[in-house]
Amino acid sequence: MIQISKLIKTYENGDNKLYALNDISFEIKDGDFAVIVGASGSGKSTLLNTISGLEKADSGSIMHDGKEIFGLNDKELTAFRRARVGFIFQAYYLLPSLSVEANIKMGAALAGNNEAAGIIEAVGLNGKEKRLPHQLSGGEQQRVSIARALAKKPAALFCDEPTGALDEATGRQILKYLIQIQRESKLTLIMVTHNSNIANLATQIIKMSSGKVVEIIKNPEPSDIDKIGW
Amino acid sequence: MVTLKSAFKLISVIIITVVVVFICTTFINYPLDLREIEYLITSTEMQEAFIGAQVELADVIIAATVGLFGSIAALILMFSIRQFINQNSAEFGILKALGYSENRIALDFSKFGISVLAGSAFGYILAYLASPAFYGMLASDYELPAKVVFCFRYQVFLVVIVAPALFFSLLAVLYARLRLRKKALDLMNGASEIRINKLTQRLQTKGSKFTFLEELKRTMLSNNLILILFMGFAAFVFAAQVQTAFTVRQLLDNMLMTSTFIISGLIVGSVTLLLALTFLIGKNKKYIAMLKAYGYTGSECGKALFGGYRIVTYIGFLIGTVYQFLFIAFIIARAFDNVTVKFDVFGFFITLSVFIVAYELIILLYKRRIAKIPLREIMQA
Repeated sequence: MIQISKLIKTYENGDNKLYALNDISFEIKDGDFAVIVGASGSGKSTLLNTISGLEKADSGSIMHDGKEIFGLNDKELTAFRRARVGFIFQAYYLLPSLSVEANIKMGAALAGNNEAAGIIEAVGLNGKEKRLPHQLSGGEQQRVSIARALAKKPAALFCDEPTGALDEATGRQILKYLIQIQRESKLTLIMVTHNSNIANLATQIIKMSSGKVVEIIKNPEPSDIDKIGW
Repeated sequence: MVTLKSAFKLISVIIITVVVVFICTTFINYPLDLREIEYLITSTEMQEAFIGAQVELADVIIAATVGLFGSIAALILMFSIRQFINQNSAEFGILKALGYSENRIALDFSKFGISVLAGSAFGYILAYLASPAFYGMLASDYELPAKVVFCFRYQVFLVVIVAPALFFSLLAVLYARLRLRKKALDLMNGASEIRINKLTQRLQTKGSKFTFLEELKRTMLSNNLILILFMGFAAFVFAAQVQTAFTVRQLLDNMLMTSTFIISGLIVGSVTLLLALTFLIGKNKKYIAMLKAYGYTGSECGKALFGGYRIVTYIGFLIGTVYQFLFIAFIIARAFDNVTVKFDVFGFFITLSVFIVAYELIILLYKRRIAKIPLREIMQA
């Protein structure tokens, strides 16, 4: 379970203090699919980065399965990320000089194995394991980045606009795949998106505005990917 | 656009030019200045033995210096221009989209010649200031009828200051013109993405049984072939110059010349090495950030990034050792009779020890730099 309590993060802007996150508290249960929605600049990416240990908060508490990560130093945060979390970004960030297989090994190696074959098959990239990222379509690259994240066997998967750079059809495919994996493996999935339609797929919707959580909606019956607008 | 400030940022080019021009000015001017007192030397034997030998010595040193250091300075300049264009590709794309011609934009790169001009001028002044000590040392074994004095010659000035600046300006323009041939849109959109060369593609297509970090180390090497040249050169120059200093000390027992070789080796070797490492980190910043986000430590990233280059630098060191021995033996055979050069084993081990310590320290420093790369790199793109 991820428990966030009274989280505050500020940025200096000249003489002003800008609250990127202002007194945020909520919980995400294990195996939940939480979506963070809000307009540009509402603080949703900062929230995702802070919960996942990519950025540090000014104050508050971030508990992952009872372990506090607020206040950890860089070395401890690295160890935390290594052991517990996976990431998927809008821009994929695949290592450009490495093949699909080697990119997936990046995640697999951290889970203690150097085999990528099984996961390549699972993401439907059979026959493309020796290709380099630039030889793949956007959707395929995002599949590799999903495979890389899953190969790490994370307890929680953090996704920042994973379909932001994709067309509707590919975006739907990717989401379908992610949700399927999340449900099958009971993975905790936390996703940031500006697309409010995607929110209907989640079991928990966290709405943000100006650095604050303005609404938390529990959604026990999430929609089907084929039934939502885009 | 290219500003004078960006030209002065080419510190590596400036420093290497200072060293090249210092050595060239000294060894071009010295035989000419020597000729000024030639009429005072009455003995033909002395003329042949001294002036002839000194002129030949100067010729060989100039050829070796210009050939070696000059070509690496040209490579660094082209490398820096490529980096500059990659870093500012969006800006150049906008300029092209606004209607600026490729020639007009490329012409701006002539300002990079300023860095060479600055380095040349400084090297020339340094050669002038050091001339009394240098000339005294070069003529120390002979009873000359008059003192050799550094004379200003506009021909030398043109050759060592104006010509290199013009040449490098032209090179910068032509190279920039070549790099700016892309479409405006391509320049604006991700033209700074890392390119994958054919060797890397071939290696990746074949697949491998290597672990992830070993695989990454392999591609860091195969996809940055120019850096192999720079790293190898850095070690080569260090080994060659510092060991030459030991040999010179053995033959001439002159501290000034010994220190000049050591300092030039240290400066050019370190500058080239630092430039290559800085480039390697700069080019891979966001991917290093991604590795760190996944939980790889700074040390693991450093090993993958730099580990493959260790063997390259040690090979460069060995080639530099062989080169300096053969070079010195060749010069001595041409310039002096009855002098044989022995391989300085003590000098070799001292140089190797200093090299190992210096190299590993620099790598450690850069690993710390990697540890400091902010994870924000992956959030800002």
